[in-house]
Amino acid sequence: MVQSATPSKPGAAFEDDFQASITVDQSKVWGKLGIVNLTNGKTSVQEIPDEVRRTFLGGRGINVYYLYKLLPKDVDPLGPHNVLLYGAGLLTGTLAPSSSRSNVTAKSPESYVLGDGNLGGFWGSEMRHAGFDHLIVLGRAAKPSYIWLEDGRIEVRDAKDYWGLDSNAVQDAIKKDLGQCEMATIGVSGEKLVRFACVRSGLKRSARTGIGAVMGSKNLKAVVARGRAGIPIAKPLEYIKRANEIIKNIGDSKVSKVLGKYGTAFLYDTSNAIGAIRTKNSQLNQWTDVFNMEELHPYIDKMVSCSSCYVHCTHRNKLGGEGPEYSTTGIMGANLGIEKTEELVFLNNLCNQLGLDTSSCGAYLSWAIELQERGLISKELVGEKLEWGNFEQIVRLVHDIDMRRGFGDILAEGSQAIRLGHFPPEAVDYLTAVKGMPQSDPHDVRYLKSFGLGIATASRGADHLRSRPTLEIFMNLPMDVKEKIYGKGVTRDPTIYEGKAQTVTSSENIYAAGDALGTCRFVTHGFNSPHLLDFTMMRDLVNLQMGWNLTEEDVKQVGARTLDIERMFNWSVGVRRKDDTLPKRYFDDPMPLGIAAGHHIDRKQFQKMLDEYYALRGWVKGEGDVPAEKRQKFDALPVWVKGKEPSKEVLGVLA
Amino acid sequence: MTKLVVKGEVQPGTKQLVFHPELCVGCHLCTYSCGLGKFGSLSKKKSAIRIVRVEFDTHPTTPARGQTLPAEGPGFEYPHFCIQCKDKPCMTSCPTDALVWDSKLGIVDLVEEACIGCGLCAKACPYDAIAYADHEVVKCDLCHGNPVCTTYCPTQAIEYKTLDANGIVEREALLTSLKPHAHPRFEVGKEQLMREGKKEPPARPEAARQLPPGMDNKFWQKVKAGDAQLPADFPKAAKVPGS
Repeated sequence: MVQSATPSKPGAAFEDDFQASITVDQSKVWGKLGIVNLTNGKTSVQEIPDEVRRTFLGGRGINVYYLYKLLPKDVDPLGPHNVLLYGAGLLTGTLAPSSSRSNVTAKSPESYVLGDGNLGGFWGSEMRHAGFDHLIVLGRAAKPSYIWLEDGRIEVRDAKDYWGLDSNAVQDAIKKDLGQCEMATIGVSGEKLVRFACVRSGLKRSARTGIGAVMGSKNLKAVVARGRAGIPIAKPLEYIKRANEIIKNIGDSKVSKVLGKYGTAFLYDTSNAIGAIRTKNSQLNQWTDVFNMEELHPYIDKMVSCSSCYVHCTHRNKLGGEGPEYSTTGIMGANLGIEKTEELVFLNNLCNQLGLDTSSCGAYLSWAIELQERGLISKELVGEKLEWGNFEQIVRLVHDIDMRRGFGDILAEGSQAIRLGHFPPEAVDYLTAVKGMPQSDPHDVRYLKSFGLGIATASRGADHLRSRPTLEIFMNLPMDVKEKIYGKGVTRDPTIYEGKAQTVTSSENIYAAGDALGTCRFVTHGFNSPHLLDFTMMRDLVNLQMGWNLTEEDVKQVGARTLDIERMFNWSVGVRRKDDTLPKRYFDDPMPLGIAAGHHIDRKQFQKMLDEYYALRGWVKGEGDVPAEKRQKFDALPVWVKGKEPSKEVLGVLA
Repeated sequence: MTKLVVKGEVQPGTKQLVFHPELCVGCHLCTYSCGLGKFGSLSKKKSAIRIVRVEFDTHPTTPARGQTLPAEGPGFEYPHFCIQCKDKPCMTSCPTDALVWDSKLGIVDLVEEACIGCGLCAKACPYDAIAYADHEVVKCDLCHGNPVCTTYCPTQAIEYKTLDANGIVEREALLTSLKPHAHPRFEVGKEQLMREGKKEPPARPEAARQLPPGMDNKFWQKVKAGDAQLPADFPKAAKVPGS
């Protein structure tokens, strides 16, 4: 408003200034559960029942809980009845270390089991600052729409101006129109229902399980938040003191310093040294040094961080994107036979811009190349001869997947290409995937057995972030250190099967607790270092923020409960013991190269590990169902606060 | 008792906050720690330091140390706070002289008792470095010599150090050069403005501001002298928790 010599009304200018004071009452606009029904545009703002909050804390746990409670039987993941959830952790957006994470959850169109991705950047904290801890999206909009969250309010708005833009352009356009905001958005791939389309926020992404396609199927281009309310802290002075101690502790750890300087790319070197980098669709296990840290380092423009993060592990590259992260380095690099660093950085940026999961995209491309080499898919189907390391061809195919053109249309179906009849049934033996989800970790799991059990049991398919006990890579850790990290009952040698169920179970528990709180793996005890955020620190931060009196054991149980509810969800969509397995290649083909040469997973020993794992989880022997007494406890939990249930209009078919 | 000198300048040799855009990773820990530690509220609205973060748009790149003007590049971020600038339009705009110059610490300090929470200083600040939330003014006072943000910064992108004459000039030049890219604290875009019935974004007003109708400087002098009363509905400055 321009100050003019004669204001239209005396004092008008002054009144405008008063409006400029931001007066959002933090205590009223906080921790809400938003519900949006896109079919009829109805919205509702609910409280999260206290019992649910204390059982799962937030983030991944509460998301999966609502998915389990709300999702109707046998829904098509890309149909209107799939339930899409956004959920920030209980500590997200605060001073807690690396508390930037939020989860995006739905039934996965890629695997047809639990779909759940973890998103860093600034979206989770902005959503929480806008007053929403969780958001449930139901139905399907008649036309392209986006959801606007601001200081406790929800609106569904028209997105016709944004439909058809890639995931960078759409954010630029929305920020120009709406000003300062953060968003979770999709590219064209999501609109075209590519089954491994990711959700993007800033230059970060929640890559896995194709939630981008779920957003696309709902005609939902973006969820945008502007948060001014902030988050109330019960005991500010004690909280700030404790948070400072914990953050300093994390800053002092060696691994944080390395991550802050080089990013995750340094892990490529470590894995490649022992011969565990999946190469050419896991046919080989070692690759060249072109993706080593020192080769990638010249492409780094600046290290950047997510919200509230002391570690700052992401490198913004000079080619206009962020990354490549370790996963992409392996899977879009070595796994496709790429031999130039610059090509890898380009492919990484391209997939991100188009909104594709690099792990899945690389895995399906390498799968197709091997299938054609083995004569399982014809040249006519593909339209050309596929080659390892053919950069131009790969770039073209990535664009084809994004636009669903030609062979790209088939690749866009991902692992469902077999069920849909495009690929022969025996093709499944050559896809490095579990439960229909390609392995995200470029680490070949035949060598370190705990990694193998981890991806076999991970609730969202072959995923390393559910349990990866990274410290197993250091072969000679003393027994007392190992016990301190993973608990009693572990074994020292990472290549044997004994004691690995314990390693995986304890890792899964603490990582799930971290996801409930919205803290990053890189500050979680046991992922990269034994000196980081453990249950005691988690308890302190939760208690000081919420004014609760949780014990360490309570927080520990949150992890176990999250795993239980995930198993219950997966059980309801038909996951059984036969699905907790590994790709055929990991059982039958010994690794060819390096220190790891000759290693493979023994089927009998693997089944024994699985038995031990089910026992440690407290699941029913045999198939691994969650026992009835545990089920009853979860079933007895309320979905809504009593007397404040959302109206039938909002719930639509779920009412 | 602090000696008050109207509109002094930061003298070489005083300790000041210095920012290094090339080191800032954009984590917001400074923002949150300032809000919580100083104002008892973990939010972006009530924090004397904020992060300007550009990922898309015109893509200026982070200026290297010693440089000021950003070139085209992949994006940038830097911490934004009050540098106790040379002109100090906030002090001129204050109707109650609640902003005073503390020459010892080299800060424009807010005298809470005198502040009526009108927010004119926030509007007058050419750098948008003063926040105005809940009718309360939020301004960097270097925590009176112990800035909490510096203890949280992971990369020393904010430093509390003694400035020489050159440093004072450089700091202001750098901030001025970044100004075109610094969005206001809660920037509102085109569509949002149209929804609110405003066509153009609000321009930053001049330093000298109008007072409410019937109030002028003479009136304030009367109020101070006890010869006149403030209207009953005049907003009061909110108290900082713990103070």
